[in-house]
Amino acid sequence: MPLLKLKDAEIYYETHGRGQPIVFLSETACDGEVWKIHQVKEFSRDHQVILHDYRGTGRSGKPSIDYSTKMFCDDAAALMDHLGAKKAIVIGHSMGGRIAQLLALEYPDKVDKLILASTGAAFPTTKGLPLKICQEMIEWGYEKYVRDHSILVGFTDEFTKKYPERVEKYLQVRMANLCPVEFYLRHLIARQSHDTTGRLKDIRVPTLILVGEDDRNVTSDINHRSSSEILAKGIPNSKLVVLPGERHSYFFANPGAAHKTIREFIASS
Amino acid sequence: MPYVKTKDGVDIFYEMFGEGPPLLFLGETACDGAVWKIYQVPEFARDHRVILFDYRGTGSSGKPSVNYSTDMFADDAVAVMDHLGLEGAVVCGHSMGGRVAQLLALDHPRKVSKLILASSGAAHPGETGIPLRIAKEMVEMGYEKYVREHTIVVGWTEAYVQQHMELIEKYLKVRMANLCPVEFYFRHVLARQAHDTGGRLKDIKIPTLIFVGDDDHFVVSDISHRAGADILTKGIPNSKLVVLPGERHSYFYTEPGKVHGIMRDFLKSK
Repeated sequence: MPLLKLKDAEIYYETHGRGQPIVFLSETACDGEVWKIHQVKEFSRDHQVILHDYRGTGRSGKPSIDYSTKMFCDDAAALMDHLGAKKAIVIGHSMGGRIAQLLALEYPDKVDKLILASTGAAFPTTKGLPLKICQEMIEWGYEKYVRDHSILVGFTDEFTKKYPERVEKYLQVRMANLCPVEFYLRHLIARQSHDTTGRLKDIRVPTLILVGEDDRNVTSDINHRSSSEILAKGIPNSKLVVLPGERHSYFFANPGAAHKTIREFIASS
Repeated sequence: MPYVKTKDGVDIFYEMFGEGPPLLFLGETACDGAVWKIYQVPEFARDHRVILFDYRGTGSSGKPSVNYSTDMFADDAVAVMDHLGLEGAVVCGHSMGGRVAQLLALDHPRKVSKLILASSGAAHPGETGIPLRIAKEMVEMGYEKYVREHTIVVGWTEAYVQQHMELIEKYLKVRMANLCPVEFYFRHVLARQAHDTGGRLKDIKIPTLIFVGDDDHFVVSDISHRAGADILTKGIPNSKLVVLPGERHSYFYTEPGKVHGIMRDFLKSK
C-alpha cells in the first residue's frame, strides 16, 4: 500500500495515469475511493489522477487530535511534494472544495486551476458540531445516518427512484470503509470552522465553480447553492456553472455533464 | 397541573411545597425538577416554600425547537417567581443550574437573597458548541444508555457505586423517568457550553455557598467541576467553599444528610 509517512499520520494515496496532475479532494469524512467509480476512468486517460484518504478516513492514520481544513491542506501539499506534482488541477467536492481553496491560497505554486464543486467559504453561524447532525446520528444510528443523508442530499427523489442501482453502487463504495464516528465528527468540526470568506479575492487561479441547481439542503446554516454564489462573487477569475436537475453528488451517479464542463474548463486558457 | 406561560409563549411546569421563606432549586443540564423530590422537598418543605420547575425542553414544560441559553432559563425562573409573587429566594443551583442561579443573582437581584452553587462553574472556556466526546459517546452507546452511564460515572465514586447501587438506582429511576428527547438534551448542552459569567462574578454581592465534591474531577469538555468551583470561590466576594470529602457530582441524590446540614447552617446565617 502506498503510504506517505507524515509527522503525526500516514496518508494513503493512489495515482492513476500520466499527464498534468489532477488532485481529487472528497467530501466530509469521505476517503478517496469514491473517485474510482467514474473520475479515475475518465481523467486518467490523459492526466495523472491523484487520490488520497484524508487523515481519519479509509486507510490513512487516525490520530485522535483536533483536525482542520488547513491540516488537510498541508497533508495534500505534502503528498504533492512527495509525488513531485506541480501545477495541478485541483478538484474539491464539498469539504474538499474548502481544502482546495486553502491549497490555492497557501501553496499557489502547486495549483494551476481550481474546480470547486458544491462547496463554500464558511458556515457563518454554526462553528461546532451541528445539532441536527448529532441528533439524527443518535436517532438513526451512525451508518444509517450517513447512508440516508448521502441519498437525501446527493440525489433528487426522481433520480433515486429512476436509478436506484446507480445510487446503490455509489453507496457501496461510500460505506465500504466508513470511518469510526469519532473521525466523522472530527471532520465535521474541521469543516464547520473553515472560513476563507475574507481571502477569496486572493485566489488568483482560474476557478470553475460547480453546483447542482437543487442542492438546497441546509445541514447547519447555509446551503451549497447559496455558498457557491458567494464563492463566484468572491473569487475574481471564477465562473459558476449550475448543473440542472442535480443535487450534491452528481460526480458519483450522473457525472456526464460535470465531466464535460470540467474538460472544457481544463482545455480553456 | 400548574403552568406559567412565559413572554415568548412557552408553558413552564412548576411545583410548590411547604410554607416559609422561598427556596428555589435548579437542576443540572437537561434535567427536570423531579429529582429534588427524592430528598430536598421532604427536608426543606418542613419550613420553606420549596419551588421546583422543569426547564424548557425538559419534563412537562414546553419544548420549542429554538436555541436555548442560560439567560433564557433564568428568565423562565423569573416568570415562575413573578407568577407566585416571590422575591428574595434562596436559590440552590446544581451544575448547569448553578450557572442559571448566577444569572438570577446578577440580572434579577431582587429575586435572590442567597446563592448555593453546587458543582458548578462560570464558563467552559475551551469548548463552545456540542463537545465531541458527548456526541461520540451518545452515537456509540445510544442516548438513554449514555445519560444513565454518564450520570453514574460522573455522579459517584467507584467505591460508592459498588456499595450503594440501590440508592443510585432509586435516583436513576427518577432521573430517567421523563428523559427529554435528545434534541433538547443538546440544546441544553449548547446553552451550558456558551454560558460565561467569568467577568461578572465580582458583581455577585450576596452570600454564596459553593459546594463541590473533592473527587468531581471528570472533564466532559474542558474543565472539571472541582476546578470550576475554585474559580467561583475566587471570583465571588462574599462566598464560602465547602469541599465534600469522598463525593463526586451527585451528592444531593443519595444520602444528602451532611449537605443538608451545611445548607441549614448557611440558611440560618446572616
